[in-house]
Amino acid sequence: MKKEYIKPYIKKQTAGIMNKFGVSYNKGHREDILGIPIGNFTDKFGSPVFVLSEKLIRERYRKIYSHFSSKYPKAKMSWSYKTNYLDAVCSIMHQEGETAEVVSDFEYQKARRLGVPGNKIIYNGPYKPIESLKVAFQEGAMVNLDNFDELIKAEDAAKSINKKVPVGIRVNMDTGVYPQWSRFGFNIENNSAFNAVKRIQHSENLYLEGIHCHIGTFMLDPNAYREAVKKVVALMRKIEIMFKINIKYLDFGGGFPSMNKLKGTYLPPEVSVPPVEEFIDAVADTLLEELKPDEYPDVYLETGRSIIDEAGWLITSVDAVKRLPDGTKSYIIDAGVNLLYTSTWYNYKVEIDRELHGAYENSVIYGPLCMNIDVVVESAFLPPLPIGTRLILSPMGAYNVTQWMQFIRYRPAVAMIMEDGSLEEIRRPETLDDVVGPERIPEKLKKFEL
Amino acid sequence: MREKNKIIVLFEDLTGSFSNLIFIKSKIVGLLLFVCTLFNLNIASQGIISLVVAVLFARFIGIKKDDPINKLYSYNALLTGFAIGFLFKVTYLSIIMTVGMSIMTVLLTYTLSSVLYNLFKLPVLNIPFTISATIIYLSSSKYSNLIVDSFYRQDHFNLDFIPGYIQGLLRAAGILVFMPYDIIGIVVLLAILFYSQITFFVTIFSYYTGILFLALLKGSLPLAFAEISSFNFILVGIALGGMFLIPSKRTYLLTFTAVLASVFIIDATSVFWVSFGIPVFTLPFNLTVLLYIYVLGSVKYPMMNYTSLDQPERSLVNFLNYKNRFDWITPSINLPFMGRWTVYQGFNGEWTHKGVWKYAYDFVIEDDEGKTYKGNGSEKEDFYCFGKPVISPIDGTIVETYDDLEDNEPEQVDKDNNWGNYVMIHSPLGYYIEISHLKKDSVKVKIGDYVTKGTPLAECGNSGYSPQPHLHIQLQYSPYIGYAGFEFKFNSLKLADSGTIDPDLLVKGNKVIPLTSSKTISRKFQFILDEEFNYDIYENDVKAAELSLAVKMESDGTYYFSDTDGNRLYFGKDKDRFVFFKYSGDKRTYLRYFMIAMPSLSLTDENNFTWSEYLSDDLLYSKFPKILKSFYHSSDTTTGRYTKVKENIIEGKIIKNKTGLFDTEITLCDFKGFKDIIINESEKKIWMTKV
Repeated sequence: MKKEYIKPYIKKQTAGIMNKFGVSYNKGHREDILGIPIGNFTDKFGSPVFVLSEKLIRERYRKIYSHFSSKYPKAKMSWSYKTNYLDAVCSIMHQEGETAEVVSDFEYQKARRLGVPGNKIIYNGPYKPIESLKVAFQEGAMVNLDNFDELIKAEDAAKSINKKVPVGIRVNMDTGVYPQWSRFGFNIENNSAFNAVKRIQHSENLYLEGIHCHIGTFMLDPNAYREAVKKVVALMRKIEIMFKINIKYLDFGGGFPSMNKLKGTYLPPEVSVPPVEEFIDAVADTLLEELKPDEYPDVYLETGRSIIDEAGWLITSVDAVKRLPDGTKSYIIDAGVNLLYTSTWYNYKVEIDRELHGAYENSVIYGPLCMNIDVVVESAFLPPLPIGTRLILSPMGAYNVTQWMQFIRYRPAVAMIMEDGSLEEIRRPETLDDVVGPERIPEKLKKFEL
Repeated sequence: MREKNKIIVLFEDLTGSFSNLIFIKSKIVGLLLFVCTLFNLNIASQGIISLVVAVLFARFIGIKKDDPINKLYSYNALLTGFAIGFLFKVTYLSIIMTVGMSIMTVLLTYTLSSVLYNLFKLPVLNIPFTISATIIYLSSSKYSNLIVDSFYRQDHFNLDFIPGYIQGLLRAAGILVFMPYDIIGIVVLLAILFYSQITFFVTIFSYYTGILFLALLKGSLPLAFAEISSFNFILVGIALGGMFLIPSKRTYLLTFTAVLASVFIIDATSVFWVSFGIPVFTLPFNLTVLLYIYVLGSVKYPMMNYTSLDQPERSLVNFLNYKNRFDWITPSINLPFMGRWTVYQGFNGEWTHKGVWKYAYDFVIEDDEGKTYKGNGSEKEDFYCFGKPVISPIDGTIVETYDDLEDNEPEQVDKDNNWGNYVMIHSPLGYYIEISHLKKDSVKVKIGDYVTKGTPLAECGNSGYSPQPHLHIQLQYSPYIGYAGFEFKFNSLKLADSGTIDPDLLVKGNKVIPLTSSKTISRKFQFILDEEFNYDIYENDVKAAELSLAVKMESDGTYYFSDTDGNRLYFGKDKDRFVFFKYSGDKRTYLRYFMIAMPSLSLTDENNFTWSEYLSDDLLYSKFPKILKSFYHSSDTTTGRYTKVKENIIEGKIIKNKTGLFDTEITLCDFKGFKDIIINESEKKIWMTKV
């Protein structure tokens, strides 16, 4: 191939990989996702489009479950709905054997609608309306209570349906990490967890069945989980001895990181993020050290991000190129923070759909919103991109399609690459009717003339 | 419970002893035989006198009512009384003799039975009678008073038109109750036929077998039929073919050889005995049978009947139930790991599991593509199983550990230390479990530690003769590394592909997952004595009956459900399973459906697994003749295929000769017991629901 002409330019020397603007991480292009050309996605579903891979989700899940279950005999996993609650995604997880972990009445209803039996749902979260507690208790869900007021609410709910129901408690503790997630659940160190149990065991309508904790998110130190397991097991022992009961399950939540690059971190995720096995080892090894075989409770992990993040991509298109007054190159693409809530804390990996030549420079990628905060990537090291170039942003599997918002634009399609290589649209692009469906105009406002 | 009337007890003892004469446990047969003896009042009354004296003497010296010895001496005493009655009519003198000999029989029975049992674990049979009778014959020749006073001529109840070859059989049968006459023989044979086809078959089979040999050796068929001791053949046949051994082709063949052996004993003993004027009585029978059961027991003949029931047919059904459903001989252990592993080398493996080490398993972890490593597998850490916890498959004591050897890099082996790092655990049941190729410095237990199932022992490694990280496990009867392995099984596991649990044998490529125990499930089957469960029963949605069950305990400690009619369903725990061991009772009861719908259940909280169970003939009304079944044990077999479809629900398909009979479904209660049982027969739907 004939070598392309590149205009001469002067570039400031930086110290290679270890420069503070990031790394050659963003360099590179990809013409396909799992063998399917990028153009196929946009031709079929438009741009932007989220893409998920069934195969990668299953593989990742199996790898994690296989490791966990070969380290602890009563290993259970529950799919964190908030990470990605598209029906197709949840169905894959339920096919693999995961139960549902929900944190709101909406998610609870979504799981039930999908066919998850009530007793296969873990109901967490700091706010559970009393009506949803009644339903959850009636259907035998595993409800983890967050605070004393909720505990009283749960008693009322159980009393109103005339049942004595099992509950768990969410606990928090100091595991040596900052910030300590102390706003959720009952604190272990100041004894409020124990007091909550005492209250539950003296209640006529509740009894304790499990302990739940979730020590943080995107945790980078597996040792924090060791601490958590030790403290929760100690609490479990104390409860079992004091109240002569058997704790049926412990739930260590999630919080395992993915290969996304957190803003403010210096090293690339391949270096800074420990493999998921180390987190599971921290939980399982500590359990085996602390417990005797006949004491083993069921142990749940609610891993979300670590399973699905790397199985998702967003394909977007460059709509305009702009040189900012300070000389920085910038691009406007068709997906902004309306779809990419996680751009607040991640520096995505940016890949382009073709091989382009030219001077690489640090560029800002803006979204389509008419808002100053709509910055998708603050600094991407890119060659000059012609209009229409497609950017592939990743990892994109976790949280985006749940936290996205309908602000001034429709939410786009979500496609799934099935195990056999076929493409399925698992969520169609929104239409005007989807958005205005719930709206009602009062009679007097119906008419206007301009 | 109300005390039974003493007369009734005595009568039951009497009929029991009578039926024992032909090794049968049946009151009706006993009564029939008793009636037979009434044809000769001398025999009947001497027998009864002897029996009563024996019982009184036993009580007098303090033998308790419930001592099992009672049955033995009363039966021997009865025979002794018959022997006297056979010789002498009832007079004061003969009664004196009966009293004396009856007491002697009790003493002989007690002594001989404890000697035989303690030394050889053998029953006393009727040796006491043989000795007593010999004493009677020898001593009575001195008592001229007795002979003058009491000797008598007996009435004969013969039918002369019957041909000789049948008369021989009839008289041999009659002599079992000391009346060698055709009519009595007919009654005895009919009683046997009424009682059991199998017993009747061995009676005829062994008699004519013995006669055939006798005739060949003596050169005369009439002489053989006239041989008075030929009833021994019948006794040998009934004892071996129907009582001490399980009826089967092999057992019948053994009975055939036993009859052959007894021929020579009959003729040999008669040489001595006859010179003193004594018949050989049952000596050939005793000698032959005791030799057979001692030797067969010692060499662990697989068809010994250890729980002898009242009919050979029932013994057979019971034996097949236990043989097909429970293996209590092969040691059975849990898997030594957690999660899904793959069998890499099984018994008689292609690489190293050969010769004395053929009984061993190797396990690795594979991914969905069948690879055992991630990346390119160039480092031992790339292998999925490397570093995974190894847990104890049994409760036992650590007798040896070693973990100083380095782990090999992939594709390299340590030829000097084949077994690598290892742990040796001693089971209280007598065997040792050796697990090897462990990771260096990973052993977490010390010599002398007592470990329970599931205790972490070490980590999987790549030490010793191990080209890739894997786990080797074998069972030994010696604590030294490298000794021969013996056959064993794994229990509490599920095959990942088929969902079948607890296969007898694992083969290369099987993916296995250990089943984890669950306290919630175990609690559902913790039935407490006298606990009651009531069920409403609907047939085709119309209420048909009510069933009330109570939990009871047998004197040997096994538990059972009893319905109000006294039918029993035995249950318990076996290898982490809840099992119904057997059903004992009437043929058509609702109680049996519990066992038909769920003969066993693995006590795990996992769902979606399947298993098969042999269903015993006494559960399903089977018209297939047991005499044929005794020849072909696997004929007319009913199997249940069960699936735990979800929490608390087990579905079953009952299949006979490859055709489905009906479907079952059982729902367990959330807390304890069985909630609903549905039997979907072709024309009838039975629904039993807990009240």
